Amino acid sequence: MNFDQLQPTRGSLDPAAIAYEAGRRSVKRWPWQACSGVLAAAVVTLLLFPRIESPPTPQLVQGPTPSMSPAPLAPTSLLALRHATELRDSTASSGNRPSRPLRVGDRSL
Amino acid sequence: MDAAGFGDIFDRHAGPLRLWARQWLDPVAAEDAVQEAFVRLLGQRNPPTDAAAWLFTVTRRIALDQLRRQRVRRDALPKLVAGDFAVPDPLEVADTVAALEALSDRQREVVIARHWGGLGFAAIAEVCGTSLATAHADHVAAMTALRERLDP
Repeated sequence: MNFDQLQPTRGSLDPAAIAYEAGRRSVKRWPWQACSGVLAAAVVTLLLFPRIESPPTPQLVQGPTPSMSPAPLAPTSLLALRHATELRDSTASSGNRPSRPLRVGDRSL
Repeated sequence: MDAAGFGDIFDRHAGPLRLWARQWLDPVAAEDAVQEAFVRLLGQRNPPTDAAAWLFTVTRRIALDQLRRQRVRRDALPKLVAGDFAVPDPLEVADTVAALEALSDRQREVVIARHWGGLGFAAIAEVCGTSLATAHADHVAAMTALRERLDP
């Protein structure tokens, strides 16, 4: 019994076809490896720098600044303004000028 | 792995690996399994130190996975045939093939890995998933059975 005389056949196994298939797979695998590399780098960056401070964003200012806007009128001032306007209109229409300040409910009007 | 190194490994192991895979698969599927093992070897970033043992392990795994997927019964496995060997005397081949088929699955694995694959017993034990002592004992039993059959 001599096994050395018995050589197994290779059949249709072809080293060129094997090399071709291995090369094809390596090319096919490359994009994923590249993506995984980028992903790994991103993960490492996040682990090393968990909080990246963003610069303060400027706040938009709408309308005039508070110093430039007119002060809100108090209700009493509104009442006085209306009163003065009515008084001016009535004076202009009559041509007379009041000798004293008018008050609400003044009978002289 | 460079082209010369791969060519050398292919020349030495392609035939034995095909015979190895033929224990479980038909000729076409066996060649596919061996090709897949070689392709995976070329895809290794760090080539294994013992390429032969690595190839036998991977080919076995591929073949058994395929068997599992196809749900082939053990008694329906394809038989070795004389065409699996290249020798001038077809009668001698037929006797050898019949003797190999008469062995148990584990004994046949050990004989093919040892005599055609050139693996050491430690590598055979690793490839077949057995202990060193078991691999050695299987080899002794297999060779005894083969002698009784082929050299009466």
